[in-house]
Amino acid sequence: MKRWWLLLLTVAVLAVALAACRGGGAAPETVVVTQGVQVEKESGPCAPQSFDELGEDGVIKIGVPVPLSAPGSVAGGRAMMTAVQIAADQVNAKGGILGKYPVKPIFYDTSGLPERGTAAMEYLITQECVVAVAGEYHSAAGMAEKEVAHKYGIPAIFAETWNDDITAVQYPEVFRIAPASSMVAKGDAQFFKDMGVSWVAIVTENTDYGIPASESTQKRLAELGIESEIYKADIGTQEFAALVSRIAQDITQYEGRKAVLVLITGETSYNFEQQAVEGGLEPSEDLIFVANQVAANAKDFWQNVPDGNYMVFRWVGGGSPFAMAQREEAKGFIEAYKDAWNDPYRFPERYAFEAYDAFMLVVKAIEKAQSLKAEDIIAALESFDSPENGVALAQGVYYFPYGSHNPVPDDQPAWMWHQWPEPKVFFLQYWKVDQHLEEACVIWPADQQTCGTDYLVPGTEPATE
Amino acid sequence: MNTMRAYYDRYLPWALGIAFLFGLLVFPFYQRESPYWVYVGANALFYAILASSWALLAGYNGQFSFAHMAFMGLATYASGIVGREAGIWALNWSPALSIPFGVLVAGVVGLLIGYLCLRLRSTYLALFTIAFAEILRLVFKAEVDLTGGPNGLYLKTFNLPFLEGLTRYASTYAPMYYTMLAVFLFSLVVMYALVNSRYGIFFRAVREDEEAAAALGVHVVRVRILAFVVSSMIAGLAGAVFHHSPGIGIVVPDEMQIGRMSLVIAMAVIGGSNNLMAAAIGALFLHFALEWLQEIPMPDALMSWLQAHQATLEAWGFGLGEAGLKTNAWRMVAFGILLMVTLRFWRNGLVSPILERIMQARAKEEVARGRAAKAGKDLADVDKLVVDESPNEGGQ
Amino acid sequence: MVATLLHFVPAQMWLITPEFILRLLAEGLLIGLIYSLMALGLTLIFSVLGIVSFSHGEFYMIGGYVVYLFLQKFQNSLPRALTGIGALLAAMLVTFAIGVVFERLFLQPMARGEVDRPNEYAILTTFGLAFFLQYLMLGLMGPFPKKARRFFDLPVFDAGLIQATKASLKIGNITLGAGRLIAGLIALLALLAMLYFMFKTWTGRALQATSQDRQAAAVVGINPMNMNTLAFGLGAMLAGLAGAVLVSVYSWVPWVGVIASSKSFVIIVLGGMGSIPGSLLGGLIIGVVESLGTGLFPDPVRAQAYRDVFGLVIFALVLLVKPTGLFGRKL
Repeated sequence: MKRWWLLLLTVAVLAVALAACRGGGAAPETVVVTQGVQVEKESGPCAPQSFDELGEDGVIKIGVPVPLSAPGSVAGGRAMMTAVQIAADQVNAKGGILGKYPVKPIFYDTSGLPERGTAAMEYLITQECVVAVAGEYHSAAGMAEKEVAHKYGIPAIFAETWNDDITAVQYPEVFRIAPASSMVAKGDAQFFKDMGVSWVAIVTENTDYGIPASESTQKRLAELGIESEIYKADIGTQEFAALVSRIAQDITQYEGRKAVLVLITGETSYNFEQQAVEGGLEPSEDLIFVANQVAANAKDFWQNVPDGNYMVFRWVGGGSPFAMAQREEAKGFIEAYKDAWNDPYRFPERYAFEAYDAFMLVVKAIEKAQSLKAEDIIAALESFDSPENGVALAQGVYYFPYGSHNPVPDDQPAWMWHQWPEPKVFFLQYWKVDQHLEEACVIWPADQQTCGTDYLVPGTEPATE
Repeated sequence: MNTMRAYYDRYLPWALGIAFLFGLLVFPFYQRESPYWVYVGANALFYAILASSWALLAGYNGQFSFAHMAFMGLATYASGIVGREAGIWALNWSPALSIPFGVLVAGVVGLLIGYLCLRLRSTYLALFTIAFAEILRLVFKAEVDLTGGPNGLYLKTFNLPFLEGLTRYASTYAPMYYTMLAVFLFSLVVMYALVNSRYGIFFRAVREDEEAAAALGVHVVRVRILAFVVSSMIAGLAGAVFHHSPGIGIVVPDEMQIGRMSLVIAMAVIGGSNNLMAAAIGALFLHFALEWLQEIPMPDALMSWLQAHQATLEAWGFGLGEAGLKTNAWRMVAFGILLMVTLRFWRNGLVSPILERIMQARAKEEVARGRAAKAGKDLADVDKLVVDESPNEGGQ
Repeated sequence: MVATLLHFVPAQMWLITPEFILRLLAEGLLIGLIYSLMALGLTLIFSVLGIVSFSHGEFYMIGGYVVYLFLQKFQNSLPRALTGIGALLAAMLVTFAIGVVFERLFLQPMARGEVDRPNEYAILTTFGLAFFLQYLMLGLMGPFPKKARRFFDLPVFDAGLIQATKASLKIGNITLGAGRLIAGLIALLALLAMLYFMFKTWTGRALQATSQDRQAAAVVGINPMNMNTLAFGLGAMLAGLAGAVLVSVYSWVPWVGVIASSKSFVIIVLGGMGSIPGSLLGGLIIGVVESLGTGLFPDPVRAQAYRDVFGLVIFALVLLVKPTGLFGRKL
């Protein structure tokens, strides 16, 4: 008798397990019916093909892969998530897409890992039936995600993945509003040239972003006659003292002004920066210290790098933070972002801008296409092919000059495919401890300076203040 | 009544085994609309192979290794590196050739490590294998030119035409799933063959008391190395096949980190590390549970209450999904508690006692039948074996 | 590899200067002091309980978080020096308490002989605790890195050869970060206090007696079970203290303990399991080896990436060649 129970119990457990697996996602439509004809649909994307196919609530779902756990940049992922939520709220406040279809971002944590990126895209496309994807911070994950987008033909707008290859493979579904690494390397090299730097220590993370970025920066610097040395470190490294000593020693071999460029992203960069200052690599007249772009998050920066005064950091985007703050399209977002973090000084980081815009761009494309079909959305995005036909959003006017109608010419790099060409490089500098981003000075390029000066020698203050 | 009883005793394990196998076979068809869950299924099988082969080493042979994931990665990397450039040693390295090569590399390195570790007992072995695994991982991370560094190594994927056809009826990930299922069944067969041979007895004898086993004539060195090599090769096979599957095609060094290893160990221990099947079922079940627990579906009434307290939830590390509670780190906390409680009160794991219960009657019968014959045979073998001269110098 | 070594000789001779090597040595010794403190706890546990605690790094992690939380709560209401001391005490107390509770619940049955295959059980339970604590802190604290501010700033002065700024102390060409200087000093004080406790007080001697011979200790009236609990609690506390002093140097995340654990393993094996002088010397050696290795590794691109490998290679070699380490007892 007992064994009967055992058998029943096992079967029940198996049944529950199988049922549980099934219940995880929103129940997908099994068969798509179009005009009374049953179209055989293999397991795959289940995105609605027209507005009529939306559920009763008429909600349109858009997938947003972002890193929300280590080893990904959690701060970056959280910032992007907040920005996208604001975008969605703003659209829905006006009734939704085309004024009647509410939009819903579906977030998925990629940890910045390729295999999690694949899982994210599979889940979003086949389980959540998203019509398009917008987001991602890490190139490593983005590289894997673009493959899935391509496999299922679902449009994807990458917000903050810099690796050139994301667009260089020229998939029809893949768009990018982030700068490509090569664009940034060019700006960096020119900055060092203008500052009269003779030698640069490039401290980079050992990843799909850091390695190509450091190499192309080194190449660009060499073209301008500046020597450099690359130092690699793993993401998550804690102890940098010996590396700092080494850089400090190598630096003594060069005359004139030197620079340190930090290409380590996320929280690891704070560790390096603080230990660099403690180890004697503090910013000085002869040493320009370029911190990683996450320094733009002033509160975190000062908490983690309390001795980081006079550090320079890079800002890449449609305009400098000050230019963006003036944009009509950005004002609402900036306010909402500060409210969301409950911090009146938290100016949106550049990846927050990008995430907001990437999501908004999908919305605009759907509105232009008046359709939910992937081909139509892609065609709408491609129709934004010049500044005149572009879409004005928070960062600037978005357009993609090269695409299926206008292939990338031979004299342009392959990554210009579906690439927003506008991102420009700016350099900002803090000059007082605990400064907010909006109090920092833009020191480069010359025509954008906000304090009337280029590099602020440590110990001085801008004259016009 | 008695005949009924005997009937169940004999056939219940078979019935359950067949039902289990059938469940595994039809799973991709059942989930044909959700490739995601088939992908999770393939992952679960991957973990099941790792957990059961780890159980062979740790549970049966008492060699507590933390390097299992390292061997998995080693085989995958070896296979990927020879497969990347055509024409190494004038061979065309398709996955069909490079995977066995990778497994072989894992086996050879396993042999070396197993031999080096002969003097090391339990704790020392655990420490040594941690060091080995970390060195391997850090080297793979640092040698970017060879291994692709932390971004991972891109791998050729294999195509199995007879499985590709299934994607129409089952799921996109069906080829990957069925390949992993085949590897899973294959490795279980190999391990059970080993465990049920006379080596199985030697394994346990060495685990319980090495000196006594040696005194009885068990060739301790050979037994320990054999266990190490076989389990390393199976881990390597699982890793290489999994990462070469269509749908993966990349391996990153962080898959070899101690954190991943701890997951495998936890799965095996909760399932029951003294039983291969229990470890495998534990891993399958726990992997699905962990995926499912990412977002626990909630009834609407509860959901609106949760939504009202969203800020509090988020402050405590929870999150809210569309129709459920996102557990984030807390599912792993629950997993950790389960692990501790299992260790303290159910040393043999949670699945293993159930399996043993089912098998009990059969085992009783078999033991009775086989005892006499086996005992005679083993004694005969013992005479042929050389008694190993004290491998225990130094050590602890 | 050979090519980079050859490249090293003519091109990077500037690295082989007395000042640079001295600087690396000083840095290595400073961080080595903290390693010693961490390893002392692990070796204490091993010498009395006979097990290696795989959750050692997690006590280190918790020590850091306690300091962070304490400073968050009290840094504006108490004077700065007082909050620093209070935070350290709180960290020690919390880790000690967790250690004691865990030992009573999970390790006592083993010591009483109620568990089969105790070695395996010891590895698994401590390892399970590590798993649990890591994710518990991830749930409670979130994955964002936290960092406590320095316990105090250095006084700024310039005395020619010795200069100090808020962030660093310069002695000639040697620059030492303020955060780690303070951490090193506290670690040194704690090590001295611990040595005093172990060798000069009755309880300390009782611990040592238990580690040498449990039966004999029991005969002279020492309760070995209580000694087990005390040793585990103290060991956890030392790890917690190491974390507490380092939380102002490194950014803190729930998995910082993993590196700390593996460093402690390396050190106690190098020094000889269970040997107190061994763990002190081992810590300093590993600190110096890592510092010199990274500073002088021929290929600057890989130098930092190989940092953790130097110690691990020594570790593997010691295990294979001389498992008893530098000061190990014959076992």
